[in-house]
Amino acid sequence: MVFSSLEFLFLYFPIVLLAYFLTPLKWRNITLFAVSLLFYGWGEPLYVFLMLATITADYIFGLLVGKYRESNRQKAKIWLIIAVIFNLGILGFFKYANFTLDTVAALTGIKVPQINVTLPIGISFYTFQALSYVIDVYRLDANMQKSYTAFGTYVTLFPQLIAGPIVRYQDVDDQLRSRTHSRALFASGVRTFMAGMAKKILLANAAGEIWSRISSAPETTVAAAWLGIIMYTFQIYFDFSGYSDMAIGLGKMMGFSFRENFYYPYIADSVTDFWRRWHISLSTWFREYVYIPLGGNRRGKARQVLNLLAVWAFTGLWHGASWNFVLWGLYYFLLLVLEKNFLLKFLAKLPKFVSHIYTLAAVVFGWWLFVFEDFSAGLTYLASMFGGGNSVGIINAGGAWDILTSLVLLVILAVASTPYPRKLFYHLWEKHDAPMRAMSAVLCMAGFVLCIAYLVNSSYNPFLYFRF
Amino acid sequence: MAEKIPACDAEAARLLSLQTRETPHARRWDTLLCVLFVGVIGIFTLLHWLLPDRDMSETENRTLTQFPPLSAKSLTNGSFTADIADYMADQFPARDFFINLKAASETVLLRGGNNGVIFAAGDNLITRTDLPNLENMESNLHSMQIFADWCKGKNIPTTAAITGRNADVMDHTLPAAYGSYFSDRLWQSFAEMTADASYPVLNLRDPLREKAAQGEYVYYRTDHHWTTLGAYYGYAAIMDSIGTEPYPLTDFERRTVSLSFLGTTWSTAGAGWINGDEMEYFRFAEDDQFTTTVKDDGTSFPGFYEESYLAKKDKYSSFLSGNHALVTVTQNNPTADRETLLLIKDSFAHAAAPFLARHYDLVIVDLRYYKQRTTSLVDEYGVDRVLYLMNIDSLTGSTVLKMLEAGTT
Repeated sequence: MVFSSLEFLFLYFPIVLLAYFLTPLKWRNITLFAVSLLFYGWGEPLYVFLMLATITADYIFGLLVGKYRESNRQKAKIWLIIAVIFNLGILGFFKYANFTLDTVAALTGIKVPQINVTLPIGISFYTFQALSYVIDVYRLDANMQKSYTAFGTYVTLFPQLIAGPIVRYQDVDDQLRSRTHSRALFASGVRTFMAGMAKKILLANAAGEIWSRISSAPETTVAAAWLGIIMYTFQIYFDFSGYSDMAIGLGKMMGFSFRENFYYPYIADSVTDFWRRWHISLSTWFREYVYIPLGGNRRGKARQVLNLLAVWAFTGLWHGASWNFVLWGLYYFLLLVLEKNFLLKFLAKLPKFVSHIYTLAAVVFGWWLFVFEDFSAGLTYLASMFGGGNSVGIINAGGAWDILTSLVLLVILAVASTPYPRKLFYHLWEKHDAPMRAMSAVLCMAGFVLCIAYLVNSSYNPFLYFRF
Repeated sequence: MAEKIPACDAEAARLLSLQTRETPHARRWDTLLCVLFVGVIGIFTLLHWLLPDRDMSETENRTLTQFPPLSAKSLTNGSFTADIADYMADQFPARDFFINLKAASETVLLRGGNNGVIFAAGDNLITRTDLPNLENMESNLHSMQIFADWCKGKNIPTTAAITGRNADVMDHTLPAAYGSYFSDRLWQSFAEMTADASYPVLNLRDPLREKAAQGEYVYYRTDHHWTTLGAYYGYAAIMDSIGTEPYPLTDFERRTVSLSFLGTTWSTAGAGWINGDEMEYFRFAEDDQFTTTVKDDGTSFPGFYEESYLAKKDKYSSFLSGNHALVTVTQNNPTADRETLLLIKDSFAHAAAPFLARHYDLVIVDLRYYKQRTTSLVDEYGVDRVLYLMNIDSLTGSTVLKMLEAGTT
């Protein structure tokens, strides 16, 4: 179940609101744990038990590591290693087993049968969360959690369960023990949630519709191919950041404070800057739990490059069990190493808009690598963007129509990618508190009704049986 | 561990403190927002789960999903929850309002259309056409040729008449930036693929397009079908090709049977503000002295029209009572010996059938529903002539005409 669906908004969520706020304060974690399991079980009625197994194991690992972490580091370390192997083992089996078998088969030519497993939703997210807990406990960055429900709540917390942000245990440790609820915080949560929903339903879906039509057309034009990849660039940003905003907003309604996951990535002026702004919780995770433990930049230049290589190969692979994601990760590794060594200094000398254009071009090309799991289809599309492939000219009537009818949407997408609308809104808020509060209520409700309209329409399916 | 707070979290914290600071009216407005948010969720939840479910959507011309049966199997394989999603989408309260709201919002955003339908000039709602599947067309034309050859062996002549989609015929109403590019590409391929056909293959798009450009009302504005006038021009072109004089237009009494026909493109577009089409019957003397028989269930009615459909949304189905696998039309007391025409068709032929029935007894077969050998029909009904009459969409949409080949070898 995703937040941008009728069954979430008008079946699941009202139950959660009722159950959560009718529960006395000290029992709210149990309620949250229960409804989160329901949330996960809704989409994965069987894998919910796999998730429970992970939770139970990591809860026990946490207790063991916590028990020995001060008295016997050696023992604590052994339990930590077992925990890491256990978690990555499960993730590896469910996500990468068939990928590994395929790759082996492709390299050796031996026919290997496929294993019949489907990918459990959100496994990459919740495994990383659970793992961060055991590591935090080992490193003395967090207290060990004695309460099974509190730990279970942390891992299953439905707002961020299936698509992040990846919440580190140390960030919510205190909130799991006690948190405050207030009307003002709930209202703020509604604002964040609605902003995220509008991003997802009104912007991402509209951009995605254009992208999927263009990318699946048997022939295209140069202009349409560019429009398509630009639309995908917007789609993935508004889709993902919208989902994160919805999660952060839901968290606020229930007294949680999650960290921001996106910070206007498309205004970045270097690829390094872009990765400080894109899916921040994931880059943070890799920095804290892979890059720095490997030595980061403290063991010399060569070692640093090697560490970066490991981080980016894993980052790519984390996004999906397919070689194009690995390639995508390595592409960013290359760019980041180049930037660290000389490109950043060079960019600093150029006018700002040049480095901005360079970054956008690098990112758009990155999304091209990202979106095509079928490499030959990807190459054809890339060729189309430059006059080859499936393109039949620079522009034609159908393509011109696509561009013309996307213009308003493009402007909205571009403006919404910058900090200015939010800046303006809060600038006015500082000066005119009451009118802007009223305005936020009006905008939220108008946005809500419009989102419902788009949701209902997406199911609208006139059956033209007398067609043809 | 003293970690620097990232700029984005610092900004989020600042904005949160702005929102949660105590100002004179903060409580009032925050309360309003919370009440509205919870209220909208609560009201629609209650309405959705308390209101009785509907069986059928007339606008969409389909039955709506009902509450799914719950079982251990449906629960564990995930089909129950997936069906709940469909059920909620189909039964959501004020569905039509929301669908029109979405259409209006797309209009404000200058998207030029909605749900794949273009808002063309003169309130014409035209289905967006990208380049369709040409391989399907090639396969269907091949099957048609095989069947025509088989008929030729029995001295039965065949004619094909293929008409256009509304985008092909009404392209003068389309925005210049959209134009007729995809239409022209498709019809060019059609011409190439039919150049070697051993029987006459008529392109009805060109003559109808000419009439449309002259302002004649040959295609509905809100539906994908041709009007009765469009069907008449199609009929006339077919008869000209066969070499029989068609009855002139003046020989029919044009009777308006509806001024509010809202067709399929209207439903798809969700454009509730666009008015319906006029629908006509072209009556002629003693046209009630015919009998239409639906062979599927053996029912029959006098004349060609099932007028009860005029009271429903799906008014086009009043021609021959809509889609069936096999239908015959015969004259009650024929004054002369009449030939039998096997009409292999899609729903475009329904509006043309009354004209053709003036010349022939009709055996009307729709291969989307008729799953037996077409060749057997030829012998069973003593067919004298074959006519393929359909929209080009039927050639590109599937390879259902493959059925024609059964029994030809």
